[in-house]
Amino acid sequence: MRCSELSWRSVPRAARLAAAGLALLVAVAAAAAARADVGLAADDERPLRGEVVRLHVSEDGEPAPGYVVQAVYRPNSQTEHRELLPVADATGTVLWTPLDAGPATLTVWPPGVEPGAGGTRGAEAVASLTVAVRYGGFPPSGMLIMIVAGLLLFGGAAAAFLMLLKPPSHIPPEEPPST
Amino acid sequence: MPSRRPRGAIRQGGVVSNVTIQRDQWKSKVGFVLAASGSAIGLGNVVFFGSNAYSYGFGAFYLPYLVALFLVGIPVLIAELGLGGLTQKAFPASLAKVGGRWGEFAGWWALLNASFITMYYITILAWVFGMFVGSFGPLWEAETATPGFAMDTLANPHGFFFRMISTPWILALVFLVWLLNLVIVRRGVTSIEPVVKVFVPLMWMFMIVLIVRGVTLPHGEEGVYLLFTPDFAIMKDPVVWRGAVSQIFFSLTLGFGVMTAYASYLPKDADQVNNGVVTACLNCSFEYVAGLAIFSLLFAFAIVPSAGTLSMIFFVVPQGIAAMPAAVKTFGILFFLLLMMAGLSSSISLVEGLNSAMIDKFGWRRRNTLLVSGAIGLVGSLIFALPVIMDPDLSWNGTVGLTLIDLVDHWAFSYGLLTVGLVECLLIGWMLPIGDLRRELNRNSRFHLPAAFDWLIKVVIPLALATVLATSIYGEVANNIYGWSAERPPWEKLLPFACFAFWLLSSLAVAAWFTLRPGAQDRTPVLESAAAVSTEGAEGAL
Repeated sequence: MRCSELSWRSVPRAARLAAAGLALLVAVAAAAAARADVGLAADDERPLRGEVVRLHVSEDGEPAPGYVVQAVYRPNSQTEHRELLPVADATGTVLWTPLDAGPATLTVWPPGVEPGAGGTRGAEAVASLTVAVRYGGFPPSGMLIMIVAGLLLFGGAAAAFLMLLKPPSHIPPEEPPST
Repeated sequence: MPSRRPRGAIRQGGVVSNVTIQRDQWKSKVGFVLAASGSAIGLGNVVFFGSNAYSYGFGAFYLPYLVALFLVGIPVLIAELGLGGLTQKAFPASLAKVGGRWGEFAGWWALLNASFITMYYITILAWVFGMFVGSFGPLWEAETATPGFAMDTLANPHGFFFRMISTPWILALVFLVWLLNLVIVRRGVTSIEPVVKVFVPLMWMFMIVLIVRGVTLPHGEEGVYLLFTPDFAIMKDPVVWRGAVSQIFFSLTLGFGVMTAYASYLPKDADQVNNGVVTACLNCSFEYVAGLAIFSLLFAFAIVPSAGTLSMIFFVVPQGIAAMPAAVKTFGILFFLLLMMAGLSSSISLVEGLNSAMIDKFGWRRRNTLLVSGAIGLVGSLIFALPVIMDPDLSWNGTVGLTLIDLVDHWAFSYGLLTVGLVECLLIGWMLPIGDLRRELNRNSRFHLPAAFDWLIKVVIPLALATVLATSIYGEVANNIYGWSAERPPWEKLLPFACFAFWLLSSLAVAAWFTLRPGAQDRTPVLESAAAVSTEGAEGAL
């Protein structure tokens, strides 16, 4: 006989019934939560990187506290990364400061679930919202690459095309043989 | 004036004698440049560039992509064009002149690898054709439930796409696309040239219309910032560089043997350096504008692409178009027409690559060669289209799912092209030798290749490609073969191994068979024949 069974049978019957009832209640509550119409909204669906945005978790249209929200930056990409946000407060509000620009998916998880890279122990997200986080201006490094790339590609194509159309007499003398 | 058709080789005692087959030639420099850039500009520029740029971190991808273009793409492209121009032969015969039997074997293997890609490429083109037809109406209409069909809950264009690819009439579209390809290449460059002269400028025009629409959407410009702003932390990851090199190879149609085949229709004293630069720059300029259009739509409508590569063209962009306030149908029709033209201008080059090689080797008539390769290719394309018709649930996970296309694409694209690139660089770099090729190319070029070109082809590019391949193989071994999952039923677990084995063994076996078959053999050294021609003068040089 195993130790676990011994310890379980040694618990008074009333306590066992209470524990079973509690477990049933939790299961029913979890099932109800799963069936409830959970929603997620953001004050701004095009938030700025580094600026706080308010997220609102609701259950059947009412503010829902306790839910867990996770931000997935650049979902479905090789550079996807996740951030676990604070649990929704009494008004169902979560404050989020986006870390990275680009598409991000916000997922809502039932209370008590800890979504992480290692899985969520069988639980599923109950709501999600896709937002696009803005830079808020063209970062100088990005502008530089855009201009340089444009000049190299379009300029290169134009110059090579013009050269190609010139008559052969314009070919400069051959380089000296390498030693 | 060269004849339009090659004269057949003469069989003598089972061996095709070494007869001179007169080859077609491009009628104009513009025709060649448009054909070469049309070959390079294909679904890869719209589909794979957008998907790879998203997957590998937007701006973190673009800088490595540019580096890969100048250090890997342009040098290999010039080498492939130079080889074709100087030998006047298709890929296997060109490589045979450099590396003998083994060179020819590598050339055939490249073309067979490209043939696998052509087969599923044409299946995807047929799906594009289906979406084009749908864009006149049904694609944008409200979803109707289809009993028993797993995907009926998805919103259009998801729902339309999955219903369309799982209906038998898609097989007719596959047939139609093959027919179009064969009609366009039926007379070689003579019939290809007028088609690309219409298609390529139109593709640019349509893409510019899309970009203007995308960037002028609210917050559309943020997509542009996203595409170009570098992220040096992500850039440290080797996987981003691997993605950039693969993208450049696929985008410039390197390792397919196509560029060598196209260049073989140019005079030997053509300026291949300029040809390479203009083709690469036009191709990547198109990718530049495609990136602007796609990312502005992606950002403006906050769309997240699904895991599959094809989701970008079949879901993301159409979803963005569907969300436009007006002219949805017009933009949708334009977009899919653009994709069809881009796809066709590439697929004809893939078809021509194999056909020109078979004509060179066996001296067959073009029509017969086209019929044989077209029939085999059609069967392959139909096989790629069939699984989702027989079992629509294969398109699980909201994407095209793990079908034959994913598996074959993984091997033929991720390994095949890069392996061919590695082998051809080693052959050209060490056996030609490369210094002589460079001097020969410089003789006819206004822009002289520097000596660094030799080291790029001999050392730097082979090392880069070997590293990419080695890390990919390591990943395959460490994380199980691509497509394998413990959760799948037993027969599905075998599928990834079966696909890998079929791809590798069939391509190697057929390549060996082609190599060992008797045929026209011209073992004149590449540079010896080129030098002889260059003394004849540069009259009419392209």
